Amino acid sequence: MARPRRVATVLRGFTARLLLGVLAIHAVLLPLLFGGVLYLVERTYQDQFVDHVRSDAHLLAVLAGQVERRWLQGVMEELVLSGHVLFVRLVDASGRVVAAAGEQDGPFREDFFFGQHGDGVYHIELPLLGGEAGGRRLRLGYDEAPARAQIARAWRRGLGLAAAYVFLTVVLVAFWGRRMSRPLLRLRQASRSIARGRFDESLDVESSLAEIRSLAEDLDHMRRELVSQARHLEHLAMHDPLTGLPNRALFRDRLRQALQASRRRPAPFAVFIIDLDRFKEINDTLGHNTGDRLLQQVASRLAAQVRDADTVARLGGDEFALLLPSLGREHAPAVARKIVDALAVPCRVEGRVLEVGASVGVALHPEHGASASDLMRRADVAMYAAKRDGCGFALYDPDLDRHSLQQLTLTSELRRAIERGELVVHYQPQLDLARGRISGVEALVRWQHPEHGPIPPDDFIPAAEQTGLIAPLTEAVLAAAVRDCRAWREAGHPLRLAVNLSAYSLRGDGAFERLGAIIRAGGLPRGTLVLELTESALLGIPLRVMEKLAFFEHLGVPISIDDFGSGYSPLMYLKRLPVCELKIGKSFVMEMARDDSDAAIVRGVAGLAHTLGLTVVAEGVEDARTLEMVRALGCDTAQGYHVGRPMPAGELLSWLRDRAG
Amino acid sequence: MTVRRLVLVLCCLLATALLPASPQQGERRLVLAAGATTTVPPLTLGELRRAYLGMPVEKDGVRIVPLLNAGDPVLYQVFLQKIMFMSAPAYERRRLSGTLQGGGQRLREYETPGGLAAALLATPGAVTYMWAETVQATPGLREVQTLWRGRVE
Repeated sequence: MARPRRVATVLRGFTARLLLGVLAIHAVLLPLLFGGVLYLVERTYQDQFVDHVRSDAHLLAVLAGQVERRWLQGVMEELVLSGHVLFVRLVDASGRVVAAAGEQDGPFREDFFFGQHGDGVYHIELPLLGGEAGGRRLRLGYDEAPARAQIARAWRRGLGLAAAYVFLTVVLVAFWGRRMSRPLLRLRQASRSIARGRFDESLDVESSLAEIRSLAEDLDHMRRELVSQARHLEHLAMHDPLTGLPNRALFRDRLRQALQASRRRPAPFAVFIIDLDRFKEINDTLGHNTGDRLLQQVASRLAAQVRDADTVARLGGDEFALLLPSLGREHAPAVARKIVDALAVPCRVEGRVLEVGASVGVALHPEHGASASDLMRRADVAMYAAKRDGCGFALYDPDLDRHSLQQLTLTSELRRAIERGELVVHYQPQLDLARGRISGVEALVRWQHPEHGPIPPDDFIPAAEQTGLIAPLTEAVLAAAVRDCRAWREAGHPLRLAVNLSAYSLRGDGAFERLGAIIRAGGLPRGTLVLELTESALLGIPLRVMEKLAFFEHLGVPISIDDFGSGYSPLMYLKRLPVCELKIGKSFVMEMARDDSDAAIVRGVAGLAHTLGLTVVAEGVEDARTLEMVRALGCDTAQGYHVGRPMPAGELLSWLRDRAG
Repeated sequence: MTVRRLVLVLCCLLATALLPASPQQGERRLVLAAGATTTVPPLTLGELRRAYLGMPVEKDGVRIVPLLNAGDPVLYQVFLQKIMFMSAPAYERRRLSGTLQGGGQRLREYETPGGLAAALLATPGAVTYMWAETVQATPGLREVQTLWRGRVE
């Protein structure tokens, strides 16, 4: 099977096709050419023979008419002896032979064309010319064999020449075909190389044919374009399009290269993680275009502060990184300070002067880590330490407080947790004490860490507030809770929803608008959603911001004061704010069974709230006795483990059904 | 048709096929033809050859104008063999060289009997070679002399 396929492949090749084409053309033209030439040669030989016979016979007829008969016999015999004439007969007017020479085979039939009778003899009869003719005629038979032999020889030579011509043609065509197909094969190999992604191999095809040269040039042009596009794509994949700096992937790659080089020849290097301090506010306030221009200026400044061998990268958002080879502990702080100082200089963007500080975290190789992940994570931790402490830069220190380390690590991971949706919302039921049924739930955020398991809110909420992550966290929780609440209502459980609001989440331009947008999108009836603010948080809210809380009242979302009585808030706030409810902190509720003063406080807060037209929620109700006490002390709603533990949205519905059943 | 008559016809056909042909049978005559009204006299073989080689020939006050009869290849070959004693290419060469050297006109050549007959009638002193039966069948022509008689197979 392989041989016929190979033969078919060869026959489909350029050289074979060229050969077949040439042979086909010659199969038509060669017979015409050589056949025509040989025909003309044959005719020429025949005509020469006939001409010779006729003129020879004429001369003999003239001669015979002039000489005596006895001389004529001798002439006739000489003629036969010459070999050209086979026989000569002299006949009289009656046809009787009067003189003869040579042997005559067969009858005398005069020929007027060469080979007319096919007997190999040209018969010719002429009357004797001259005075002695007397009606006598001369009959001659000329041998056609020599002329035929000449013609046959001409045919043989012609056919030999034709065969040699065909052979030379085939050889030359095969030679030139291969010469011409060689560049084509080279082009085919080159195109296959390109198809396999090997663009770097230059296309070098030599050919005398303009078409092949043009094709080679076009292919090479295509290859160069592909090289250019591949490099462009590679650059795009490895660089930040906004600043032109290497991106996270390229930075990690160079970091790995630095680590490998360090293994071969130990040398220190430093990793800096840089985070801009007020970039988010600028971006939210002045728009993304301004933010982008600012990032470009920051990138330029960073690049201007480092050496050519250093790597400046943008990791994403307002986060940059530096890889500084041959930089140890003794010089790293000075370089970090230089970076902080350079970024502390206000930037001028679109006619505005913008001040952006930067926090820089520094990790050193080899003392702070032997892997790219460790070094980047620890530089990240150091950066958050610098941000927390407001000191501009910080060098990673493994001897610092372990909790602090965990907290800092936690904070750096919290950002990614929000982005990846690792935070979930649980709901704790609230019991309407007068009606004895579940009237609402409080949304409580939980972080299910993929490595460390569940992390309590008290461990990450303060870090989120410190780092500005509280705003996206609050927005994510509010959106999820509103979505769940609407689902419950559609399922026949018109529960009231309480969502905790950090005072930090109200800072920054656009905070109210973003929260308002989420609330409007939720489409809950007015009064269904309640935003809880802790009393201590209220103290941290600037007065101008607090006045804006009326914004929520317009949306039908009242405020609940959480942990009421635990802080030092002036009661004036109860009058100014759109408060509808006070929540008594669990520290009073849980202890009031043993401490009468706590019970008195609970009774007093309830009385105050009712006097002001507010409802009271008692938190921390963990047993039946406490439940009865808060009911007796005038609380409207109870919340705590005795009523129900916080649970995921999916469990809440079945819990409600079980309780109703 | 009766059986007897059929046998008679077959016998006649057989006899015709088996009997030797008479000497006269199949013979043809090559003649010199001219217009019936012309006064072209008989020409000797030498005069005829000179005339057909393009040389001027005048006899009895008649200037001979030879015309080539090229319509019949066999007739042409007989003419060449019996009158000119040369082959066709040699005759062509002789005619051409004679015309170029002598400065005379090329012989007029006719492919069709009609054209040849018209030329013979219209041209004083015009002669040509023809089969005798063609001359007899063509009105206005006459045989000047017999040039050759024999069998053409």
